[in-house]
Amino acid sequence: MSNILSDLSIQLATAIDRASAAVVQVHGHRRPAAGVVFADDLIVAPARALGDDTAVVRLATGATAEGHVLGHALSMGLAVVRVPGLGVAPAEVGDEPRVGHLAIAIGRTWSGGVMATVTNVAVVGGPLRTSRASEIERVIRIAQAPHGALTGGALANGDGQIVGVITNSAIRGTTVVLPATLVWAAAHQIVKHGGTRQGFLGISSTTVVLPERQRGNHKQAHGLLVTAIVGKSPVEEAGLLVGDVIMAFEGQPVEEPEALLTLLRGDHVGTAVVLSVLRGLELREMSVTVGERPKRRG
Amino acid sequence: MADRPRELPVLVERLTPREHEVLVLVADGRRNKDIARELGITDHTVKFHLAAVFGKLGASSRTEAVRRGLQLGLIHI
Repeated sequence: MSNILSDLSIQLATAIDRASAAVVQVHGHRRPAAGVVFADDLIVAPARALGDDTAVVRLATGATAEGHVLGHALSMGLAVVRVPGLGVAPAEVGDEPRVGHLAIAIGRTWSGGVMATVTNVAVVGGPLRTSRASEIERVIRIAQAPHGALTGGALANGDGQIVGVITNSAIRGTTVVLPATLVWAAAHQIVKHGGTRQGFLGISSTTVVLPERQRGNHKQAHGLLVTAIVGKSPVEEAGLLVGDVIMAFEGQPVEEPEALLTLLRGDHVGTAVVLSVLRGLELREMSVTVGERPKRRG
Repeated sequence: MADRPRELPVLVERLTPREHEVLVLVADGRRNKDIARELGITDHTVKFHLAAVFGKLGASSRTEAVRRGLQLGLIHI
């Protein structure tokens, strides 16, 4: 006899079986958290749960393996851990969910067992500010409060594919989930470059106060006066001059050199960004292809 | 961090090339461990150079050292 509830239960349990295979438990110097295997021998897990160097990973079988931290995706609060010979098949990524979709949050209990809860996608939104100068372009929120065993775990769809990585942050009672596509991209970046890459423009600058006349109609009182330009650097190619005042980076006002430094920590290397530059009374937009700091002696 | 009256951006004592390298890596958000690996020195030596950088820049934290380094034009961005 077919019954809609028992059919649904079977399908949910099947999806959980499939997705939880790629959800492991990680131990650092703090309480354990969950982690997701995103490629062969590679796991993403909450940076806060891990030490700087090594991490112990507990597999679904109960066996443990030692891994080392390759780097961090600062804005997402995630770390990438490599565990040689992990032998767990990486998670399969599903299409990004829509609001209202049923989803399964999967983590690991303290004793290492699978913990799963059925929920629904409550919000798909963003960008989400994570610090003064970094943001995550898109986030999912689920109708479920954060739970320690789910932190670092996976949000799966009905086919057992993974659509997101669960955080311990809550916004008005909903848990923030990072879309799998964004996490995977950031994680692969770390594997390739050993961490978030610092972008480089090739300037020295100092904060200046602009007189009313130079502010125009955007009212920004401070800007970054360019005091030096590095030879053969991205800004030299773009035609920036000593004496120009940088007002904004990709539309974000910059009033201190540190703010620009932090903004350049996003994934900008190799891409063109727009600088709003004040030259005399004229505000112009300049396109600059962000480079990397020349090795040694920057 | 409270705003102190802005001091004149003058460096009393120049940084050595090694100290400069360490400061630039700190600005790029690297941890001591990464810096040690990159420069092929020990964590301990990184801390030693960093202490010298703090002293010369009159800084008491990494953030402050980076801020001073940026204003002084020691760190290009």
